[in-house]
Amino acid sequence: MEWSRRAFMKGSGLALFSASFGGTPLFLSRAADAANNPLAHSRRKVLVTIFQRGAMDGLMAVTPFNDPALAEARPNLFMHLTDPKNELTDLDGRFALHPSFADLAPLYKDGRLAIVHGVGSPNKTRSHFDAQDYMENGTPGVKGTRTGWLNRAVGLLGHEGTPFRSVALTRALPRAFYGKEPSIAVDDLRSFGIQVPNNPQAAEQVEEGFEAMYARSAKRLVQRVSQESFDAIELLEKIGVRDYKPVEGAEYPNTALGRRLQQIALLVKSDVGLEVAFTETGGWDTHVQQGTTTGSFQRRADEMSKSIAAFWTDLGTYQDDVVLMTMTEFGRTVHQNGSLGTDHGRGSCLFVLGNNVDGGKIHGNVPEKLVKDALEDRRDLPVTTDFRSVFADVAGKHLNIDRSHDIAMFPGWEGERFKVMT
Amino acid sequence: MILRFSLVVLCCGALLAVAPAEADLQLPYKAEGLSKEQAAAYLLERFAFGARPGEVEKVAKMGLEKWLAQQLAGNLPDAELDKRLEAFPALKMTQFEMSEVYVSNGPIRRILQKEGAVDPTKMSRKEMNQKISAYRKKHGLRAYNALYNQELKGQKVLRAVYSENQLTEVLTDFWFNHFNVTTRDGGARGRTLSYERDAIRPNVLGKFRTILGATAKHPAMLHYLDNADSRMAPPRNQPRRKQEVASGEMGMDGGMDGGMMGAPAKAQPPPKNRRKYGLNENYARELMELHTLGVDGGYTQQDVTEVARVLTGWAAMPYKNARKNLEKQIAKGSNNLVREGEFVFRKSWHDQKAKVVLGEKFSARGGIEEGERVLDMLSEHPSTARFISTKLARRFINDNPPEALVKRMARTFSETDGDIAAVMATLAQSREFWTEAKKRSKMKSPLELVVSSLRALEADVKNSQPMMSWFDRMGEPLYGYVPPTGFPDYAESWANSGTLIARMNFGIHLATGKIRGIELKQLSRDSAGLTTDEALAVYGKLLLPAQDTSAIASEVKETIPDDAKRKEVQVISMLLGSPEFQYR
Repeated sequence: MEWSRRAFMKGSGLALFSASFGGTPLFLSRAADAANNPLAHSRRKVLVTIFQRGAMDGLMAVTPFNDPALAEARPNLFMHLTDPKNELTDLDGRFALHPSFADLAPLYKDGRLAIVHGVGSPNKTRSHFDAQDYMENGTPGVKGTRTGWLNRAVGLLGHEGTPFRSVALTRALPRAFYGKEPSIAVDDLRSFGIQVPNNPQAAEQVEEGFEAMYARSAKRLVQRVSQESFDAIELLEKIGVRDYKPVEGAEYPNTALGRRLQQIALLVKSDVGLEVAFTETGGWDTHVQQGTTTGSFQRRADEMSKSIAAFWTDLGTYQDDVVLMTMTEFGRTVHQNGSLGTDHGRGSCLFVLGNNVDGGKIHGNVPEKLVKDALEDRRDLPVTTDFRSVFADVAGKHLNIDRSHDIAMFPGWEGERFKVMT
Repeated sequence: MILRFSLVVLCCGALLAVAPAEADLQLPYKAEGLSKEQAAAYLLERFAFGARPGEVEKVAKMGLEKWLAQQLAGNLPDAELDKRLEAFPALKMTQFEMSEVYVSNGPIRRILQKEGAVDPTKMSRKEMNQKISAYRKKHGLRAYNALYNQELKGQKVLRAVYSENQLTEVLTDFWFNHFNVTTRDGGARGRTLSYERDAIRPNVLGKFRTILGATAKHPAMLHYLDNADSRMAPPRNQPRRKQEVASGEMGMDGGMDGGMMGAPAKAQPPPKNRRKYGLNENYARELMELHTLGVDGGYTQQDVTEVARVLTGWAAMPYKNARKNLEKQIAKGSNNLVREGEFVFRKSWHDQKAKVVLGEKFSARGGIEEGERVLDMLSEHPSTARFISTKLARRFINDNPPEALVKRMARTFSETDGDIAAVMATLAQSREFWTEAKKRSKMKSPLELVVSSLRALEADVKNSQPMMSWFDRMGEPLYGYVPPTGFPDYAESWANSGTLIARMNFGIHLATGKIRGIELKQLSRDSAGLTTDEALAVYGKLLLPAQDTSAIASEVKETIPDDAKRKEVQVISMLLGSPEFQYR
C-alpha cells in the first residue's frame, strides 16, 4: 500500500493530475479540496520576474539616440543610430534598442513587449543593497518590512497552491519571496532530489528509505512537508527535468540565466501549478569599460535577450498564460565616468512581455534633452514612474489581484497603477 | 517611595551580576523522569551545539550543575579553537585595520588611475588586473570578500564546533540574529566581523543594557539601519558651514556596496557630495520593535520619531580623508565630537530641540546623553523583559514557550537589571525546560544541524569554505538575512519542500566525504566493514545519544541491502537525514 502511489505515478503520464483516488499527490488533493479552487489541473496564469542585479544602464539598453545632450555626456558610450556598426534598432523614432537586445525587437514590433522608461524608486538611495531590498520588499525607505512583495502577491491570489506555485531559480531564497507563503528556491531543478554522488542506484534506495521514515514520523510538520517534497521530486522526474528538450527554434544560451529560464518554461508547460517565478542575472554594475557594441554591458544584454527570446519561443501555446517582467534596482549616471563606465544613478528601464501587454510602445517619461537641469540631482535620469505602480499593474492584472489589494501588496503605497497591461 | 524601591532592585541587580555558581543551581531533571545521561544529552543539545563523542558521559560525571555553571561563566580555556582560528588574520585586527587591508579591486584601481599607472581608456581589463594584483602584493592587501566570506563565516562555524564555551557560541548566534545585520549590505559588510566579535560575543552573558549599547554604537548597525545618515534638518535660510561640507562622507562610505565603487570621473568632476539632511527612522523603529519592547510593547509612531531625533548625531567614524578631518578636529578638542572607538557622536548633526519619549520629557540642548537615557529606559522597560524572555524561551525550549516560565524569566530579567546569565539560569532550572526533553520538539536550524553533525562525528574541519553553500541551500545563508528581524526562529520557516531535501542531501554528502575540507574522525578505516546492526549501534549512540533509536534503526535496516558496501556510510547518511536528527 505504501508504494501504490509511487507505482501509480511511475506508470502514468501527466494524467495523474486529474486522478482522484488515494494516489493523488498530497498537495494536489489538498488543493482540490479547497472550495474556491478551480480544477487542480487547470492552467494557471504565471508571472515570471527577472532581477538584473547591479543596476542596468537603461540609457544604453533603450537609448534616446537623437539626444545631443546624452551624446555630449557620453563621448565614448553614446551610440549613434547612423553609425552602421552600432546596429541599433529604431523603436519609435526617438529610442533605439541596443544591438545585443536585438532578439527582443521582433517581440516589440509584434506589440507583445512594452518598455517602461524612467522607472525607479521614490527612495533616492544609490546603494545596491538598499535599493534591491526596497524593490523586493516593496516598501521603499522602510527596511523593517518582513515579507517580500511577490510573496504578498501570492498570498492575495485567493486560491490554494501546489509546492511549485512560487519558485525561485536562485541559490538562496530572494528577498521578494520572504514571507509565509511557501516557496521553493533552487539553483537548478535537476538537483532537486535525493543525491548520492556517483551512485544513482543508492540514491533511489535512500530516497525510499527517507520517504518511509518521514511518512511514519510523529513530527507532523516534517511528515507533511516531506511528503510534498517527495511528491515534488517524483513530479520533476515525470516531467523530465533532466532531459528536457526545448521546442525547435528555442535556442537558450548555455549560461545560468539560459538554463534557469528553460527550467521555468518546463514548469510552465508541465502544469505543475507554477504561478510566480523569480530569477536573476548579475554583472550590470558597469563602472569600468562599460563598452558599446562589445564589453561588459553587451555580454550581459546578449545573454539576457537571447534567454528571454528562447523562453518565449519555447512557451509555444503557453504564451497566453505568461507575463515576463524585468527589474533592476536603479539606473546609472547620465555622464560617463573616468573609467569609461557609468556610476550609480536613479531611473532605468524595464521590459514587460506578454500577449496581454500594451506592447510596441515606450511608456513613461524621459526628458527631451538630458541636460543637467533636466536631470535628477543634476546627474541622473529622473525617476518619473514609481516601480510599484508598474509592478501592481502587471501582477494585479495578470494574476487577477484586485486593485483594492494593492495596499496589501505594497504597504504604505497609495499611488495609481501605471497602465502597461491591456 | 518608588525611588527607594527601585534602588533596592538596583542593588539586587548588582549583586546578581556575577554568573550563578554551581551551588546556586538546581536542575530538576529527575522530577521529569530523566536519567543523568538523558538530561546531559538534552542539555548539550540546548545549551551547546550537541554532544561530542563521550561528552554525555563526561557531563553526567562532572555533574550537570557544574557544567552549566562553567557555561554561564563562559571563560573556559580554548586552546584548540584558538589554534584553528589562527587561519583568520582579520580576527586580530581592529575594524579600521581590516578596512585598510581587505580591499576590493575598485579602490585600488582608482589609486592606480590617480597615479597614472592605470588608464581604463587605453588598457585592457587584463592589463589593469595585473597592475592591481602587483599593487596588492606590494602592499600586503587581501581580497575584500575573504573578510566577509572566508574569515567571517569560517570563524563562526569553527567556534561553534570547537569552542569549549558552547553556551557563549549558542548565544552569540542568538544575539547576532536578534540584533541582525547582514553582509549583503555594503555598509555593514566589512564591519560585520568586528560587530560580532566586539559588540556581540563579549556581551552575550552580561547585562542586556551592555549588549544593547554596544550594538547601538557599532558602525555595522549604524550603517545597516541608516542611523549614520540620520541628521537634523538644516536651519532655514542659513548658509552651510564649510567644514561640515568637507567632512560629508555621507552616502559614499556607508551607502555603496563594496566591489566596483563609483569611480570619480577624471574628465569631468564628480557630482558634489551634497550634504544630506533628514531624519531616518529605520534604526529607531527597529530599536523598539525588534531589539527591546517588541511590536506591541507600548510605543507609538510618535515615539519612533522622537527616538530617531534623540539619536541624530549617533554616527560612525568615516574612512579615508573624512576620517583624518574628524581626527584633526577631535585632537583640537572640538566640542562637537565625542568619539568612542569607531563610534562618533556629532553634535552638529544632533537635533537639539526638546523631545518626549514614552511620556518622558527631554529638555532642549541635550547631547549624546539623551541616547544613553533612551537605551536605559528601553532596557528597564517591562515590555523588554518580556520580549527578550519570550525570544530566549523560544530558542531554548520550543516554538510556543510556556507562558508561566516566560513570566518568571521576565521577573528575573527585571530584578537583575537585565542579567542574561541569570535569565538563562531561571530557564535551565525550570520544570518546563526539562518537560520538553521528552518531546524534542524544537527544529534545529541549518547551523545547528551542521554543527551538531560535525561535533558528533568528531570532524576535523581543515577548510570551512566548501560547506558554506549548504547553508544557502538549507535556507540559512550565514550573515545573509536581509531584514532586521533576523531569521525567524520557528520550524515552519525552516522546513519547506526544498530545504528539507537539502538537509537530507547534506547528511549524505557529509557521510560520503563529498564535502571537501572535512574529515570525520569517527568514520575512520576502523569502522569500515561494520554490519548494519553494528553501525547502527555505534552511530546511533553518537548522533542521538541517550535516546531510544529502535524505531529508526529498523527503518534504516530495511533500506540498506545486505550486499551494500560501506554500510556505515549509509547508516550515517540515514541518521543525519532522519526526522529525529532534525530536532533537538
